[in-house]
Amino acid sequence: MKQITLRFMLNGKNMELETAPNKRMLDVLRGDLGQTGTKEGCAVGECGACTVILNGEPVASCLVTAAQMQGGTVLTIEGMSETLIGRVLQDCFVEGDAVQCGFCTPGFIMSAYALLLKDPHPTREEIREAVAGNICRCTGYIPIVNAIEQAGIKLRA
Amino acid sequence: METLPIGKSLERIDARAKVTGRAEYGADVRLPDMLYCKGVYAAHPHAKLLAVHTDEAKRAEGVACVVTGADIPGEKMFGELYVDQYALVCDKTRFFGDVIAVVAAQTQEQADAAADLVTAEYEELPVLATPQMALASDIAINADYPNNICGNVHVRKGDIVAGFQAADVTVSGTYRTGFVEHAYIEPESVTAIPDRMRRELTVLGCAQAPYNLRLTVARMLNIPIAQVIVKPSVIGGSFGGKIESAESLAVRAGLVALITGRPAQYTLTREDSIRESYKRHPIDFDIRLGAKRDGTLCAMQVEAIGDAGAYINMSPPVMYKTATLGPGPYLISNVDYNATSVMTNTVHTGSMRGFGTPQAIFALENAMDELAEKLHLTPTELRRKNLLQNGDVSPCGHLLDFHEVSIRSVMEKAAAELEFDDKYARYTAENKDGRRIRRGVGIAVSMRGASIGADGNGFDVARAYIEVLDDGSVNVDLGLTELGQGLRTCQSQMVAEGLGVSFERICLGNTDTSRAPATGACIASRSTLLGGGALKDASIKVQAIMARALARQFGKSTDGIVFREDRVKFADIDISFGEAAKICYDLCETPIAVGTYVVPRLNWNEEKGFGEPFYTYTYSCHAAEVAVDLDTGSVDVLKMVGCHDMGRAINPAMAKGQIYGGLAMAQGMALIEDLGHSAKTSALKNLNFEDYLIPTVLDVPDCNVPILDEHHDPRSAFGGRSLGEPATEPGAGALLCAVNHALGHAGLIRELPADLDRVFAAIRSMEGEKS
Ligand code: FES
Ligand code: FES
Repeated sequence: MKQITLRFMLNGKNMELETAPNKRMLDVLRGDLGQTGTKEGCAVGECGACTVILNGEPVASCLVTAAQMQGGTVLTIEGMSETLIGRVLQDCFVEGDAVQCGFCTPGFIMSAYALLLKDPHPTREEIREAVAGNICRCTGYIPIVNAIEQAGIKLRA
Repeated sequence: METLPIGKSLERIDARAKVTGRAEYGADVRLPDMLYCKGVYAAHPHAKLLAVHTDEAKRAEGVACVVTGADIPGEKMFGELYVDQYALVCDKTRFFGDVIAVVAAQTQEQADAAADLVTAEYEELPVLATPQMALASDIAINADYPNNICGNVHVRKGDIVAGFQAADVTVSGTYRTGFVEHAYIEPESVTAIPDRMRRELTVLGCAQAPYNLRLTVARMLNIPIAQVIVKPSVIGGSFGGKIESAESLAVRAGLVALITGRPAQYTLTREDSIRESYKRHPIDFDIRLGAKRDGTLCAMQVEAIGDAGAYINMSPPVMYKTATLGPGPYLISNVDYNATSVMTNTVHTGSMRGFGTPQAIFALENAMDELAEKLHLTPTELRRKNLLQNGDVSPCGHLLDFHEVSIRSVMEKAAAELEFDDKYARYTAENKDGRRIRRGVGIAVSMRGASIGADGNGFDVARAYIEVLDDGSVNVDLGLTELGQGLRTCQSQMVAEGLGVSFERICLGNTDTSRAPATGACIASRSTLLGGGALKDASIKVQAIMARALARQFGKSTDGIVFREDRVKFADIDISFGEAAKICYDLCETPIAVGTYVVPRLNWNEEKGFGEPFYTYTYSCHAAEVAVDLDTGSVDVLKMVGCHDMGRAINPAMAKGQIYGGLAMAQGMALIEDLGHSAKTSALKNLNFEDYLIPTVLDVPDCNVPILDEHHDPRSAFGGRSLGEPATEPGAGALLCAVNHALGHAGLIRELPADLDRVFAAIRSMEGEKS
């Protein structure tokens, strides 16, 4: 297939690369760019491990093509430490024991980031809705919801 | 005030790397010139493999090599206890997850495409898709096991016939469970890297049991054990699931690496992971209980048949735990518990968190509720009557006089948190008013043996290496793997306490089998007990070396030397641990030691199925509250409570984390998880998370409560026992007791998962009966 020149913003930096337009966004990030913080758990949009932010919305990057990224703004776990919301979320996940094996963690943090970006005052129910597309086999979720709730409180303070 | 490292909720040592995306998991490994692998699965679950044609695949774009079973230079099969599993099938396929060839190419896409070009010729054999079919057949799946039975453990205590004769009331019936997938969110991935100088392989990736993997690769690829170096990557969950599953991938990738001289990465898709990895055993239980009119248990008889699937894997030791722990934490004089595993042409079954007991506890605890109903007792009344206490003899014959037998307090705490007794009475009454949404509560108890038990008599050993450096930092090499449970943080806390130093001094590096001495695997509820024992032993040895140096330096006796809170004190000397370390090096002493811990030999009579099956036990209780919609069959879990006595919580926050996760995993097993196994073809229908549903945040109650009921265990170096497995053990039982309570009839639903269809059918049959 013909390659395209893909230009987009990744964690605040301009990116330009030649790639196939139908390549999965997940493979562009993990493969072409070596940004392996975003994980693959199912490849069918069910686990949320591959969640990233595209133009302000959380997306399952296993279901997005390179062509759909054209000209877009992308945030991944690697860029979280450079954002205030991201840093606070990271601290709260660590402090709240919301991380066990950690494989789901980047996806949860990205979903939580998208939520807090839009709504700094989410209720627990809203938090649960926001991460309903992310599955975690280790934590039983409550510590994750606690961590996101805590992050909201800290960000408002 | 003294501050010891154990018992504090210290920050997990790997958490920062995990929240920033820096942690490197198996599939994150990137190496120059690396090849990507793809397996070709058997087209028939039971067939003679006559030929595999790989020529076309070999010619495909980007392909570096295609390997088959014939290319394996060493032993053709592997297995820790029973060597019967193919990494690549040689003569006969045994299930749909068997791999007949592996294609390695420059890119994953090329490998995937070329894998489709591999063809094979088969001579089909009858498919034995269930234990019943396998037992009835004269065809042996494995010729060494002509009747297809691959494991049997028979526990016997007292006189079962007399026990039932003495009973005023009996209940009996069948309970069944289904296959359960571990569903670690990280699919398996390993990378094999050939050495440039000699026939040596380094294996990275998701190895839960690195020493098992090392041995398997060494034997199958003909490499000395010392030249197989396993360095597990960060592991994205395992729950017992990345042992043999990682070994077969390592052999295949290792073979590619040796043949091509290039690193080879082998990552499974979710579908392939579910297709080929082993599962939790489905077990059928025929159970019979007898009691006196006052509720005193007098006899328990269970016949359990587990589906071992295509390979023996861990089936015999799983049956050991089913039979020895299946009788629960009850005082009962007459027990006959017979557990058998049967090979079939279905996906194999092996280690999974709980290892044969969540199924057994589900069966037993629901039968206990049937008994309670018959005796007009509440579930807690019946259990209070029969739970073990200090000095009692366990159902297998173990005199429990060596630690606090806390199951009564554990159950009361869980019951109180759920307000069990109150809700049980309230819901029983209100459910009679014809409402269509009914609530129910259930409670289940268990005792879990630590480590392998008498099944591993004489070889249940752990080792750890401790090296004090001249700046007082402490290097620890430990072969027990971090699976997300927080093991390496907890083990660091134990070393710190063992050495008497601050937590900050401890540097517990990643596992590397070329550095950390062989220690067995992080399995079987053994790491806290055994890892702790080995670290304690190494600590004592290192302290002795340091004491010798200090005696030389100061010319004083170090009798009664104390290492505590980062200080070293003896005679009139009081120095920091760092100073003491430096003195050792100044005097050319070597404060390095390997610690060893062997579980003491247990007095277990295998013939008679009686004695001490384990060295010590964790006591657990889960209580659950549900709402069942009679019109749809849907079950809403309202709350779960998990109370556990794990001896001592090394890190309380992480201990609670285990319980939160264990409760959710139990909920999945109880209510939704179903692989869609066909009893005809033996195929699994549900190979990804669209169909194999596991609990999401919206399924799990937001108000679940973990409770720690600690009673330090004198049999454990630091007082702690494991929690990972107990945390999921009684949950499915408690949930089904709750569902059946809501439906007004103990033992109404007898099969897992109690999903929408099954619950709806039960409601229909119940209502049909009434009308
Ligand atoms: S990998 Fe994209 S949702 Fe699972
Ligand atoms: S922490 Fe392991 S899957 Fe969420």
